[in-house]
Amino acid sequence: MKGYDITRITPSLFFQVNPTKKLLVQTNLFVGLTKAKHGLGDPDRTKYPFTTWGFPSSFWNIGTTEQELYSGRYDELRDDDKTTSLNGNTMAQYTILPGLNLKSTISYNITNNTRSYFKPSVLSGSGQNEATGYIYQTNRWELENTLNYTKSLKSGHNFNVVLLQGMEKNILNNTYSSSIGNDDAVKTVTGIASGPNLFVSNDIQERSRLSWMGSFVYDYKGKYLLQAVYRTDGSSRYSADSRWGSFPSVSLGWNASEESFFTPVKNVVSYLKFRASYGITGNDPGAYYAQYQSLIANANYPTSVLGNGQNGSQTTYNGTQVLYPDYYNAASSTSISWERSPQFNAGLDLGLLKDRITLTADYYVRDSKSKVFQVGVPLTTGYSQTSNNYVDLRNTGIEFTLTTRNLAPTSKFQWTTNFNIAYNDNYITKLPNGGRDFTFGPPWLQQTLSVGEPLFTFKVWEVNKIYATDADVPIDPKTGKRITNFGGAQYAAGDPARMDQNGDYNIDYNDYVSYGNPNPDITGGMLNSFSYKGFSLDVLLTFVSGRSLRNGYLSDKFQDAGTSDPYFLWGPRSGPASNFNVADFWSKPGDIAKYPGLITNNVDKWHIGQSTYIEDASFLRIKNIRLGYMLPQKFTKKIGLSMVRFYGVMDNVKVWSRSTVPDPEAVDVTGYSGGNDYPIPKKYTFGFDLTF
Amino acid sequence: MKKLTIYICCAIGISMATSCKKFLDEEPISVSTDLTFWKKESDADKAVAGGYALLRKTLNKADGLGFYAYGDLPTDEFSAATANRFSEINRMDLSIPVGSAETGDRMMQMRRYDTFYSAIDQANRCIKFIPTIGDDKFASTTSKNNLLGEAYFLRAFNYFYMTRIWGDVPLVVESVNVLDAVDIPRTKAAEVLAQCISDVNTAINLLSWDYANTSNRAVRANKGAALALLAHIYAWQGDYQNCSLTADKILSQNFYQYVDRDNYLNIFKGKSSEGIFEIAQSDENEGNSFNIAYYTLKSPYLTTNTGTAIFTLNSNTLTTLFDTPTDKRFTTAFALTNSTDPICIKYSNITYVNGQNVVNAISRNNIIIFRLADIALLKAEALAALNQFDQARTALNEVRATAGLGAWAGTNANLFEGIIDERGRELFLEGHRYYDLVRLGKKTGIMKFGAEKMNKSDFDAGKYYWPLDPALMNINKKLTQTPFWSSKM
Repeated sequence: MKGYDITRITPSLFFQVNPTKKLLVQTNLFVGLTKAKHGLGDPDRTKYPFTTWGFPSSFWNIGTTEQELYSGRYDELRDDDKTTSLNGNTMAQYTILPGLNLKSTISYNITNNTRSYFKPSVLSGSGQNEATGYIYQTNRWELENTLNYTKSLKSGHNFNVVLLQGMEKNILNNTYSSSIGNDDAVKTVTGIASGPNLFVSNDIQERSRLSWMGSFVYDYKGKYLLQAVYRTDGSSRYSADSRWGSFPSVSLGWNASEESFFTPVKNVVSYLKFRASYGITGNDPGAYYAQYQSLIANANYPTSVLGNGQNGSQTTYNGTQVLYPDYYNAASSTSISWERSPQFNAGLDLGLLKDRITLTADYYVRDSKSKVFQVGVPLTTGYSQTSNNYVDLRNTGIEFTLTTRNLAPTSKFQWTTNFNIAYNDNYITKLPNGGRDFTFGPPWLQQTLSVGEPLFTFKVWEVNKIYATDADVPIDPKTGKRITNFGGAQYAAGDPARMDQNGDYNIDYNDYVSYGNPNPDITGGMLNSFSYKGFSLDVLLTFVSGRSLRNGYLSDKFQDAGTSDPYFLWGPRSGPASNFNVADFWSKPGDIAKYPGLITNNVDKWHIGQSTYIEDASFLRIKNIRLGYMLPQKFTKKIGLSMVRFYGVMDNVKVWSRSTVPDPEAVDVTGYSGGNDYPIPKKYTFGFDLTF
Repeated sequence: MKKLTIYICCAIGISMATSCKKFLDEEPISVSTDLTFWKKESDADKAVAGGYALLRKTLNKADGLGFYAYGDLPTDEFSAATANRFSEINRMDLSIPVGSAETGDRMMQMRRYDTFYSAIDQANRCIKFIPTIGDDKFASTTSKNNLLGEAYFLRAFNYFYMTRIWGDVPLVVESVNVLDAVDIPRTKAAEVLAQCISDVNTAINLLSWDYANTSNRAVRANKGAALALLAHIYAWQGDYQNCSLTADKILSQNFYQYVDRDNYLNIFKGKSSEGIFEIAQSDENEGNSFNIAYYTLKSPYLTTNTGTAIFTLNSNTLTTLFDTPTDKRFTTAFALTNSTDPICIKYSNITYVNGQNVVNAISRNNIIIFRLADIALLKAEALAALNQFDQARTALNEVRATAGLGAWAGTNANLFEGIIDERGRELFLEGHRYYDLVRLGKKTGIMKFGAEKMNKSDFDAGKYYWPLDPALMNINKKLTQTPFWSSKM
């Protein structure tokens, strides 16, 4: 990849001492050094014609300078992005009495990202040299003290009691600076007089968390198992009244195969265990200072510029600094608090024929309560949204994992199959405003949350055909007009036949219907492992079923189609000229076409809110194939090594899918697939391991 | 060994010691909140300045043109506007459909009121919090009163501006917690105006004439600005008796002086001796690039536009209004008048910043909301409406004299219309014409918008009030559409 670069070095260190029998001290340290270059990095795209929705054709004239600019190799451009991270933990454990120990762990993550960026005048929007410097620093530490007591009685009763106290602190320290009008030789933010050409900001945010936990684990001869946990966490994000959340849980198990009455069938059923648990977990989303409404000094107004003619941060009215609440983001809510997820789980583990066949089965109901969402508020407050614990969601489903050893344990050739499959159903159980539906995203990418429906249901116009002739378009008996688009243009031959759901002979956003959702119904995988002497072969398959995606890739390619002056636009943009079959487009009355006519009109034919762009995202993929060979021990010993192993891996071998996007797995949580990201790469790796 | 034991003890010790409540008390350190703000005079000053900044955002909505797109574009001043949505506004075709989330659409922004409520909420907050700051934190009680008075002025101004656009609008006079906020229906315009009058009177009592900081002249409210607002409210209500009395209070103070009409354009650079209330956008870092100057100017007054002006002046209006070619307001504020594309150069205080292959034009012109000639003519209008024709003529002729014109020669029966025309000449492209023509229509039945924009029957059906954007009614189910538009969108 030209213009892009990434270098990574990650040394690590592990250290352990036992100064006395009773004391153990361990330290782990990982250092990460990364250096990256981001190509052109021209967010204004002033000099850059490439987007997924508008890719230039060969008509587009590219000179040497443009080539250098586009590929980020232009000499005057400087982009230096370095990340240094330090992760480590130190643990000390002191055994007070046999079975009773005290452990203290401190862990820390420090990340330091600096980026220095220089844009020469030919590239910048201001027509002057521009420099930018970022320093993003995160600093986190966590301390945990645990007191652990384990006791086993000869009678078969086993106990374990743990008390934990933990605390965590997270600090963000971000500095951003930028300058305009640098000398050609000065590539960093320096030498610029204070004023509109110089901007600096430093933002520090801190958050902390306190935890207490107690757990009690008991079993009797491994047959009857009980675990009870109570934990309570406090988060600094929330106000004193709402900052603590309590999260109890209890689980029970019965190892039936340990019972004496099981002995007769042990040859067939080698292992059988029943499990059940109920518990609540928590999550503390939101900004670091979620409980506070921040005041901002934003005096910008539409079209306003600083004294250098550039958009920038204006903070004054007639020279007086301004300050008012941040009306442009969700209003804070003093009552915002923890999200809680009560979960019920029941399952069994089964082993058959001396564990040659093992099966794990689970049934679960996972509720997510008080999930934090942004919801509209009356505009007369000055705000448009607020963020609070509004939505309840339920996931319920079953999961199976089956492992079989297909050949006799005595066989030299071994074949093991691991198959897992999960079915999940997800739907909304509570919404604010009396359960009224609420919509996400701009109208062309509308998605809804409705009680009883899955998260992020797509809302689109249902399109079943392309009108072949004008006469195919239904006519409003009252006005004599053909169906209209938002009360304006009438639909005609070559336009998509959008279903008029409310029968008003007008297509608008009220005609949207629910049409699939991005949550998979069934997911799973299968791993087959074969081995013979030193050779091994593993094949992993994965699959997803019952998920839909929105094909933004296709829509984006169409987006250039249909300008009234295609010769003008198709130079810089050639989407429709890519890999389409011309016969698929409507071109004359009577055509039964797959896609609308190419010339634009007033019904926005390529609107992405159409069922045309919703596709089945189910797929089956050969995720990887791994082949290995280990040299025989007797041979390796001769050359003084304890192990020598060669291996080869093929990643992302093949995918079968009904969807036409480059990669049906490259879909974001809302189900949008833009084709704009790198597809999951096909990779071939060869290597060998030596152990001395 | 000993050291390690000490370390463990320390670690536990530290955690126990800090695990008290304080550990979780994280307060913002890079941003202010209401808990840390509102402590001293400069805080109150920043908050009030925030109120003006929010008003400035609102008057610049729709890509910098809001103020003129309400006040001038739908009138006889322009015959065409070759720009997305502005052409529809120019034709008063305000019902075109816009997708409910296309919040960047100019028509949607013009039909929405939300930004006014941010400015009102900030005014409400100032009214709530400034009194909580101790008197001893201010240089004097006068300065505290001035800041509080400005907050009342801002609230009244925002509501008056809104009610001129939409008629009935939801009335909120207290900052509420968003979680407790409920949908509010439209309040009757009369009730909104009554609230405005009450707020302005409070402001008049609190505000001084003089500016402690002279650089704030006209761009922050003083007693004169509040009186000018009140005079306009009375005129809009048709209460010309009070309008005349209020205008008199400004004129008799002699705080403002006419700018010599040879230097007429100095008014629009801002803070002239004539300016009563203006929106500041001429400071070094408070100018703009694409607002009214961009739409009305061309080369050589704006070198970055080498084509024709985007908004086309209505040449008929120009010839009928400026019937005397020596009118100084015509000779100084208009250019290229002998060409087919004359332009108004009131907002032509432009500076240029050059880069490689790039020229950035910065316009530094204040939005002039009230000024001396405006109030003098408003007084003339009131007197004419009250049939005090001689006094009305005196007031009118005084303004005409500044422009080098002789006494007005028409009949008493035509005097009211003549004064509105004089306002048209004096206040061309200053956000007044639309409301002036509405007052003219209400008082005399004369329609001057242009028949294709608004004829008599449209006017009588209330077309002069804007529709609300349907997106607002999706959010607030208690809203109803403006009557004229309810069957059209």
